[in-house]
Amino acid sequence: MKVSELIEKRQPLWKELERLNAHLGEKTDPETAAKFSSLYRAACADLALAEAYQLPPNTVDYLHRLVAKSHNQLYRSQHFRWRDWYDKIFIKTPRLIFNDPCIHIATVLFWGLFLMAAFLANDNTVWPGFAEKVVGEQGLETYKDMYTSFEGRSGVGGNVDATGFYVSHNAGIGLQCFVSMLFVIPGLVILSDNAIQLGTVFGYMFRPELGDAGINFQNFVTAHGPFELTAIILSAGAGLKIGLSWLMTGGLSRSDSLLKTARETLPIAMCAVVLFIFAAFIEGFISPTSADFMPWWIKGMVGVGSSCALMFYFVVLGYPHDGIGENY
Amino acid sequence: MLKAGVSNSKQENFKATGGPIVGTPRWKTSTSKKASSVLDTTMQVTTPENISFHYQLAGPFRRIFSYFLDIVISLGAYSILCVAISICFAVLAIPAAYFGASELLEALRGILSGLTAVGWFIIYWFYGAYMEAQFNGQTLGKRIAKMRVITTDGHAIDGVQATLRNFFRLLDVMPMVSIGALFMIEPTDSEFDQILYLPLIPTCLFGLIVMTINRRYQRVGDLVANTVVVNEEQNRLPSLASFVDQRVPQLAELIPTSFVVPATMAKTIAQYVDRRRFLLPQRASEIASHLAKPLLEKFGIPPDTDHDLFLCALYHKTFSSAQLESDQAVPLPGQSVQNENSQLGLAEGANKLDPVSDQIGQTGKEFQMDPDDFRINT
Repeated sequence: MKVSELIEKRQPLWKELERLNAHLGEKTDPETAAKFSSLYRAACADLALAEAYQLPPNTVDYLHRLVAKSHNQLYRSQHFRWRDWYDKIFIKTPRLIFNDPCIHIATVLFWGLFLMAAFLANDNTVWPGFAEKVVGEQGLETYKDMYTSFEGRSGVGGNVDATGFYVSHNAGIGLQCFVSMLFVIPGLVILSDNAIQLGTVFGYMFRPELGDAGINFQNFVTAHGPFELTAIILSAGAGLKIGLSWLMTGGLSRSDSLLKTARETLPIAMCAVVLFIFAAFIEGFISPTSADFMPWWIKGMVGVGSSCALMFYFVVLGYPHDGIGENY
Repeated sequence: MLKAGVSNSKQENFKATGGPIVGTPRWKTSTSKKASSVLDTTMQVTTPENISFHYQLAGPFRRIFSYFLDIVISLGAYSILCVAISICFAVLAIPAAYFGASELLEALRGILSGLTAVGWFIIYWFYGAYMEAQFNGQTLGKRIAKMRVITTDGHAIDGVQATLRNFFRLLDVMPMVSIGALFMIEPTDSEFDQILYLPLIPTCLFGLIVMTINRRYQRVGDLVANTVVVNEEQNRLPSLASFVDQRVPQLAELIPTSFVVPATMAKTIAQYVDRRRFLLPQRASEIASHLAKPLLEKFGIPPDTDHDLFLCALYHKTFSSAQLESDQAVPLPGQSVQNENSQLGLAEGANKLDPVSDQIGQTGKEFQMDPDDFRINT
């Protein structure tokens, strides 16, 4: 057989494979699938034997592309499998979080800076004018006015609006923090900035001279605080884990360490997103209600309840059972 | 330059605790192949079928085009969402307005605005991840630009990888600049200028730099998720070159039948014939002379034969008239993999081809045609 005859003979088969490539989808009937796979095998064989057949290079190139394309049709992506996500979210992730030093570091850093800033802003004698320097006098005025005249907001419309804004804004910030931790420093800056800003506002609002504004502020933040602050810490901790993975590799090559950790860490970031969403709903629906409509102790109970839920998730689900947790 | 075997051993190393990693020694991959794959921007993959093929890697400027398309599509989807929600609520709001329930109207407006905010969050962060996981590594933009995301060992990506690489795009599009800064507009205090000075335009410079310093055009998201983006262009069915010039088959008959073109020479000739139509005749003849001169001498064909014509004749002989060594070397598709006998036949056929490469020296003298026909026309 001549090369030209060989090519002539094969071309209809290649053409057919090309056609199937374009039309193969999720729902392929078994006959087409079988036909596709036998054509694919034939094309593979043709490519493998190209040297022996002495095919011209442009035909070999063509076969490379054809096989590559068919390969992508044959081995398809696995979609999102919800079962896997459940397994990750309720079994693996809590254990990972419980044991993870990076999350411990992020926790200590966030709360340390938060409390320090809150103290400095509240006290105002150790470092006079600290709050004004951090937030700016105009910013502080805005906060003060906002909470002095705070009367609570009710009505479904406003609440859904606020919830939507909080989901997209806060979860967005959390993911930004997670992603920018890849180079450690930018992420640490975002985390510290958030901690100091929040701490300062908290400390400032509870100054005795602010009176009503402080009470209103307390009324607003109590319910959603636990979820939101934990979510920031989680996303930062998860990011820090990725950032440190290629700096401290633990015996793996840098890229391998990065890839392995990134896969492990994604569920933590997703967990943070879920917490942000919970927090947004509480912040949208429960927090802004006025004290007459919903007394402060109810909001306190919501805060305590959400803290307990977090404890349950991190400690009860997260506590390493039979040493399984340590390997994640 | 990567083989599936290498990455598999790497994945196994994940499980090992402690101890140094035994990577593939560098000398195992030939440097020349590596260099050529960088020049051609291809990536080699070995499949479970035990054949290896090349992927064409997608470069940054193609990818930025598809990113732009994806942005447009996202914004389009967001607009459609907004319009759809608005229509739904308009239907509810008209009776509310009719009965003068202003509180209800207010509530409806709030819900509308909240839902669109959540919609934007989902589209912004999860559009790419969902599309790539669901549609086998292609967003709509990639589909239009004919590209696909795959893992570095050539397989389809999974949901985790799709999510990771889309999250980390945030770093790749840095630094963000504002329209005002881009066109150096003097800032004023008007409200319009505040919009002008919001950092909205992604310059993608960071991702571009990262792509240029690794071999597979991976941006940060790709590095974190272990993926690459490959081209998937429409493939044109190749055909053998055919010659209008009747002298080509005539000259081909002058070449001794005992001479079989070795594999590498066949490749060279085919590449030459593919490209000669882009060359000026003088240049083509100059390139052809390197191979044609010694061969003409060996075959005893007059040396003033047109070199270009001679290579065309050699091409004609190799691909269109010469028989393949063994007819068993051409199994029918479908049987080709399973049929062991034909594979054995192939192996023999392939072996027989090799010694042929030494036969350039053999010449045949039985010319029936007048060699003067093939002189260069002046």
